[in-house]
Amino acid sequence: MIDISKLKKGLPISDDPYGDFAKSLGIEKKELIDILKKLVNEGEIIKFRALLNYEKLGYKVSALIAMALEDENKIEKILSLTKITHLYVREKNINFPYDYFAMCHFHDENELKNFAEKLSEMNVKFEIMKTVKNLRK
Amino acid sequence: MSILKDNIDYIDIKILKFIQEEFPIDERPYKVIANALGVEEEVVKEKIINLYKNGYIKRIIPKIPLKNYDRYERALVAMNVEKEKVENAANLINSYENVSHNYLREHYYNIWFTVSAKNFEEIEKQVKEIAEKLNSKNYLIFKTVRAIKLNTEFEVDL
Repeated sequence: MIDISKLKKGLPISDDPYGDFAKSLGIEKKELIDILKKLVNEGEIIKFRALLNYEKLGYKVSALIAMALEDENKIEKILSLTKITHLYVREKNINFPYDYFAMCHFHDENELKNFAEKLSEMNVKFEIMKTVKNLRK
Repeated sequence: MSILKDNIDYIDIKILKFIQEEFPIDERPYKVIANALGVEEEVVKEKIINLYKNGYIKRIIPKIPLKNYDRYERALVAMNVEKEKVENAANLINSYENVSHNYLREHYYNIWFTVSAKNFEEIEKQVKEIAEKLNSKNYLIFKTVRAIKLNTEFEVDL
């Protein structure tokens, strides 16, 4: 069996992604495909998919937005307001009392402003942490 | 909205839409995509490699079920780091295998990253170690309770 964490960095995007990946693991391509299919059958992974660069696709502004929500009634409405890729419930910190953290994407500054206004209208307390740069590349 | 740059054409867009949904597990994944889209395997191969080179595709990774997500404790960390130390901080934080996201943000807490470990104490210990190395006195750890949405799919318009 292969270590799942080896998959985290992604498949090589080459002429032969699975073949090259198999080579890096020291196994045959056929063997790798069988293992991956087994992992899918066992529910360890759902599928492979590509992560796209949102900025290149026109979402020029992104922000982590922390919100204080007493209950989840407002979640659906909030999710409908803009493109949200990640939403986590986290334990509140006394120094930063928000429990919902959403990764939000906007085409431009104006969309971000509109989103913030809508949150205010909904009486949601929030704080915006605009993305300056991805440090992990 | 048009994103027609870098000679991106409608086949590129079709490919992007397809592979953000699923990249086939197959000995010849490009052939599977090509068949589904009604184009040549060679075209798909060339286009995907180019889309990657031009930065449209970041990575091709497995989607992990939410239930497996709970096997580890996770946390979001916000840290105040002096401006001059941001690059150092980025390198240091990225050197830990269990860090998955790491962003510079417009806020007093300017560096935000996520970590996972077998238990929360391990996370606290590691974050403390990072803060000490960076001489940061102010940081916050937000323990993850659960994920509501893990959808990274984007609308790809032409």
